[in-house]
Amino acid sequence: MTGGMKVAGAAMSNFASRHDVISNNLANISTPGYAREDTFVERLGRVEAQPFALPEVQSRTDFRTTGEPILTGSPSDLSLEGSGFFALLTDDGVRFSRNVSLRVDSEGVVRDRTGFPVLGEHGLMMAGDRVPSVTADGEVLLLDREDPDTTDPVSLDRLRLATFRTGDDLKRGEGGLYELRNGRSEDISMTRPTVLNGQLEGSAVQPVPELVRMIEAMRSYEAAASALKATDRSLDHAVNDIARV
Amino acid sequence: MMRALSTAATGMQAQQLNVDTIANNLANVNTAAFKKTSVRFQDLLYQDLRPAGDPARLGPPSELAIGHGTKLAATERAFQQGTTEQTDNPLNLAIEGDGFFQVRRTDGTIGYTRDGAFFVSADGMLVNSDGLYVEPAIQVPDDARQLFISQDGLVSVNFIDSNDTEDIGQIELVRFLNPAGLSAMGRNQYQQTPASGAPIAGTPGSAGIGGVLQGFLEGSNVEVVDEMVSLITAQRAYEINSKAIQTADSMLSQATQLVR
Repeated sequence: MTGGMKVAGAAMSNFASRHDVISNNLANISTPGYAREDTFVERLGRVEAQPFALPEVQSRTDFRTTGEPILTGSPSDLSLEGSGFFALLTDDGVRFSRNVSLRVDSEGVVRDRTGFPVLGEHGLMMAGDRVPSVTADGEVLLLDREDPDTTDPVSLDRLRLATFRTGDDLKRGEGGLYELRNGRSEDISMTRPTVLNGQLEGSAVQPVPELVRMIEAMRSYEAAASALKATDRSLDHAVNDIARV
Repeated sequence: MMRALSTAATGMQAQQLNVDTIANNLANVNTAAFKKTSVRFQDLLYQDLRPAGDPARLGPPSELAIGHGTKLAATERAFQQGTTEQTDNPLNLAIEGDGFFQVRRTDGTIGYTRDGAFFVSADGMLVNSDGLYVEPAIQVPDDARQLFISQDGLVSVNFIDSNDTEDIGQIELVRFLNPAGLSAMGRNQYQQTPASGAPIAGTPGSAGIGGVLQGFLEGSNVEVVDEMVSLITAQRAYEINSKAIQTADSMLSQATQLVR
């Protein structure tokens, strides 16, 4: 009897967590490069000699759905077509991002809008007083500010573009930055993504499917609550009515 | 309590600030040389409610990463050229390309502006609409009849009683490595910051600096239709987040109703 209550209770807290994740997706409906977090329920925590298994909700970043491009018109805004990431150097080590907006700081270092240096294949990139321009295959060219249409621009480096065998190799962090999980590594055999100029990847959250998931989570929560109530009523019946003489 | 309540609240707050920014752009649709701003959202930190187990295990790590919503990471100013409007006023200048005019502010610092509506003050100096001297200072002689400013910023006048022209000064413009790093001070002026880098001075039409156009003013670069679309999107995103709050509330109320 109490087993049923436990399962229904666990289901309720799972659907509440599911709603937490969906709310975070919805809150990030305008966040460039945001990949939605997907939830799924796995039967886990099965205790020996008990007939039930507690459901356990888990989440996974969905890298398959990508957002609509946001056309910014600024050639320093870069995004990627195909799976892969730009590499940034943060205080905590290398992090991966789907979008970068190149800036040259007052010391000439090529940085992202967030202030983290953007990594090339040879590490930090120094543009000096020149304007970096990136080709589709990730080559960074330095243009002369006075003569940007020059026919032979200086090649600086190639952007470090990281590819992974599966999205599970990455752990998400704030600011749209992902880190490599312990024990996982980049997979250089994958096809390099193409760099797109003048556009950023939008948020992958689409309102309608996300709201459908929200309704689903809410109704499932209601159903679990009803199941819990029903179990409670049965117990009530057993305790207070059956034993009545 | 449910995280969803505060998560969705961050979404609503961020969208509200987004609407504030759009409203400011729309309010400045007729401001000379106004540069529109847009907001950039960023997701907040993630909490691993159930940290992934053995990292070396193949297959999906079993975890539950719950985010805490969104925040506005930055407002970004787009320095794209605004529309150039003909005014036929010889003291109006538009910059075609990169660059800023310099004005000497009352506190002695230099303000940078693209608003080229200049006037001649009572003491004969070239000033902007706030009466701040153009830097380097240019004095217009009392007996000047017409004022000419060439594309490379050379200021010359001719006189009432003769046809001679005389050069009286040179407009100097500055550019920045990262103009998006400038801080806006209101009154169409910007101030340099460590992010913008130091100003690089030059004559108009050289060294990556745009030329000046006499008799024209640069308009605002706000596109009303684009802003309207952003406004609608922001409003709907706000609504969606409010629905997430309502849903979380209804779930909580059902939980409390469990206890009879």
